[in-house]
Amino acid sequence: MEITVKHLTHIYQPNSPFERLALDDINVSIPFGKFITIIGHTGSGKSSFLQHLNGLLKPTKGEIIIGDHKIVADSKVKDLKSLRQRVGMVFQYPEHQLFEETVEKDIMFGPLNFGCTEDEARRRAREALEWVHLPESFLERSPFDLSGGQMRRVAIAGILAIRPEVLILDEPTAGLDPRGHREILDLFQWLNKEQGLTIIMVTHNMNDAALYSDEVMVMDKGRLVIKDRPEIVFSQRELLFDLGLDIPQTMHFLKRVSDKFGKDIVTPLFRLEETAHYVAQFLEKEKDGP
Amino acid sequence: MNETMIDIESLCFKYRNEDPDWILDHISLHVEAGEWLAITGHNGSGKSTLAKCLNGLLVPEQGSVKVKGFFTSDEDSLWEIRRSVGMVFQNPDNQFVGTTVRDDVAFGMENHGVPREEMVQRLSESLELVGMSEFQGQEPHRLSGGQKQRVAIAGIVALRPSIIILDEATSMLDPRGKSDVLKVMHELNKTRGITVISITHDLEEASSADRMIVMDEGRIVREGTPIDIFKEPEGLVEMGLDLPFTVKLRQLLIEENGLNLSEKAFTEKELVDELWKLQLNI
Repeated sequence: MEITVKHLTHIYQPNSPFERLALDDINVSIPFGKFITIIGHTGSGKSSFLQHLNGLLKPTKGEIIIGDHKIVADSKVKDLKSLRQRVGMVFQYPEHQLFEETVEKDIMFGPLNFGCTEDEARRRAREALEWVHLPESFLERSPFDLSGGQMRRVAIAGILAIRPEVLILDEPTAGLDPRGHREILDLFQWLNKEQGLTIIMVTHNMNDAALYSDEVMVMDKGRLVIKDRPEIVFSQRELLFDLGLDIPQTMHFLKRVSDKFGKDIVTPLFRLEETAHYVAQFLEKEKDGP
Repeated sequence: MNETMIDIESLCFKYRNEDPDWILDHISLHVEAGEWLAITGHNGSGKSTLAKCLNGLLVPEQGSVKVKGFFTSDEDSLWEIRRSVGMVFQNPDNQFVGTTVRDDVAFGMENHGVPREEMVQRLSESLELVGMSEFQGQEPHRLSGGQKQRVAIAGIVALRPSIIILDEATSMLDPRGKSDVLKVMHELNKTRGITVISITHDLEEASSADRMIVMDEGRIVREGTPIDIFKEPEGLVEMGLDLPFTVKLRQLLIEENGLNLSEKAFTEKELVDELWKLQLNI
């Protein structure tokens, strides 16, 4: 299920003094099964873009084609329910939306809403809980007695139980400690690689964008500035700085090394191991002399 | 010796009587005027509960918390304590009351009965300090996350606090917002001597503190300068934390790549300098 966005423009409160251009002629296509991250400073249009992908916002101009669904300006979205079943959205702090007495009931809520039988919903709840790596014993617990990281997993399980093909995530790691952060990103990677879900994630963390995604979309003032592989996007240091963004830590370090040794090339590497290995080899070469 | 700002003696706290374990379990801690203290620990380790004890939002079940000599358990002192201790929270959108930046910064001062002339002067001074003067007349919701947090800080600074607590205050910000907020706070810490307590998961942020404490299961399990804490990384990762970038990279350079580096380098610059020397010596 490919996602194609053509000339997408969104204006908030048009024809009023508060009129604001949130998205400005965005054209992008996202093939099925990719892991895409979106970066951009606050107010660059990231969230507005996400909200178009499952019909929460409708374009002022342009269109969005998701599989056989088409969202265009000035007309009702057909089969909105089926679209939302296929495109699951995890908002910021999704744990704030937990409400049931037990974890099981909370996860079952989505599937039941989309017409599953009780038995099927229960089966999916078990499966989704396993996917987010929580033990079965949690099913009977109150979601409110869990830790922050666990609550977030339960909330995500609730979306996964709907069996979406595309998972949209708005800063899914905000507020988690380093372990919770890593575990939840590994989960998304697993869902992408092993379960074939398309992942579209907004993040402020440049390291995560570099490490986890097939492609990075950079947004600024409602426009899509670049969409490319992380190695290419993060090689554009000056551009990213101008947009209030940053480069991953590994590249900051490699830049320092390169400056110190009077070179002007910075190789785009994002993994620590690769970076350490590269630096060791670089020193070796320097030692042998030019 | 510097003036003592915060003095915690064997503080114990839990939210519900029937809970078997303390959320804060015999915490003792001293914070001096002008210090920058980082508090770190995994989710649920008790950091935020501790922060709420520092301005009397929560009071000790056992033990005591003293702020500038006032006990938080003494209701008559709460007003004074809350004026001295300002808090900046995680979500920039949840802490605005005014319709303009100016109104918002003035709100706290009005509440504290600051005379009008004084108020006008403090208003421009605090907005100046956080670099937000030109945004005075703007609506807060039109600002970026980092700008919102700086306005929140201005509102606190206007009350002339002795202590500012940052409760994960940069965790929702984009990279520039984050570095702007930290820059402003370091400035206030240095030039105005404001004591800063920063609760954070970000080990890079914690690294810039004078002193840090690590919490686990309601207890303080490590305490020292960031350099000392990260010198013994064992256990930190098991506690759900991470190590700063340079520490991890140095370990890999030594252990996996056989480089002869000292354990002294702590900042990126220091590490690069060591690599430079290493290459010259050989």
